[in-house]
Amino acid sequence: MKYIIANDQLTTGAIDAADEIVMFPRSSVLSIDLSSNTGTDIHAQSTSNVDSTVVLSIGHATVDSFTGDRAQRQMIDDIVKIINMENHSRGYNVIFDALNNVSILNATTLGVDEA
Amino acid sequence: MRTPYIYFGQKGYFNTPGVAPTSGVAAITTTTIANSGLLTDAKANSVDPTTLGYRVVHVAGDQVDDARGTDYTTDFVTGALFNVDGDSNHNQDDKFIGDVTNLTSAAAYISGNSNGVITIGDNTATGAVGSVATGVTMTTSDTVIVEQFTRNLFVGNGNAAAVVSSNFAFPMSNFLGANPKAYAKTHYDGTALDQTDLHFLQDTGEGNDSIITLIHTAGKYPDIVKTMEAIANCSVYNRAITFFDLDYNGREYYAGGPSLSGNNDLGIIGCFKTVV
Repeated sequence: MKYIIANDQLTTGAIDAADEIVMFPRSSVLSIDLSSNTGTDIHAQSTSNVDSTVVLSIGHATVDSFTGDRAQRQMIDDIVKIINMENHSRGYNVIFDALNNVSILNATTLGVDEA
Repeated sequence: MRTPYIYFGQKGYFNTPGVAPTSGVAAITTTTIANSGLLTDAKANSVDPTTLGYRVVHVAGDQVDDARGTDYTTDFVTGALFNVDGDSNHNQDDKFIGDVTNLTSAAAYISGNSNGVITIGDNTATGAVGSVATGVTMTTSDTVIVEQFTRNLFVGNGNAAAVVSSNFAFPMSNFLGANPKAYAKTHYDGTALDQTDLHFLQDTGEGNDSIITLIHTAGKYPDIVKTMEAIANCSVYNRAITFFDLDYNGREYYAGGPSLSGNNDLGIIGCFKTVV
């Protein structure tokens, strides 16, 4: 089993605080969808409450254009690729890492919301 | 454990027979995410819906003289001029069974007021909108079809008004089943239609399933089931498999039928998430 670890890009005040750092197995992912014109969400079953979710919100350019529309569609493919990737040599893959300036194409921000 | 992902773009579709005018206007049943994937956005009287990414199409179910606005001269499906058979009793404003009219005259509509209501004036100029040129006097034998044809803000079938039509990807490991639903309607091109609901684990973590509703050519339920099985077992893990998509320019994309041909083998004409 592979796991997803994420921290909110803007807030890392306390490691045990809500909406900051989460970890969950990739089998907990429930869906990926468009949440706003500039945001795509990854919904996963919450580790603290199985009747709730953790939402990773990935920011991107507006989808209100043909280019933005197709870029967001491509982003979903890139997310799926990372979630499903078997990387035995390195042991991890990155969806978004602001500190090291590594991310999937077109992602600009990452937020964490523990509902 | 890896799992294939399935992807759905939205295309709103609403098919309602039996709408007749009252006091000169006919109010179409409110479109909602649940019944059509359409929240037709604020719509001023002077706006042609085709400029907002959806079309309102009238299909005549009976023959009535002098019922259609004179602005409309050609059949939307065949492209032929209305009633050019040379019969002196037949005029272009007479509707005949099977006539298909794309209602594009802006003056035929009253404001949707952000509430999903489309109101169409008759052609007698007795109501708030519509005129001899722009309205259509419907009967309960007629059908009105509202169809989204581009992904954009205006049909409002995203998570809120003024959000671009949403899209969804689910892991196939969360697929719960396909449920055929009573529909029994006919598309404007004469194709008989069915509805199938695809159920997935709810993406809010609790409560009812997430449901993707498909409106498609009648009799395709077995092929939809086989297509879902093919996607579940396709061993493609590096992208989401597109079951259906509609892009900003109006192009549609398909998985195809059980062979995953990439063509519209299932006759998909509507695809929307009915439980949000």
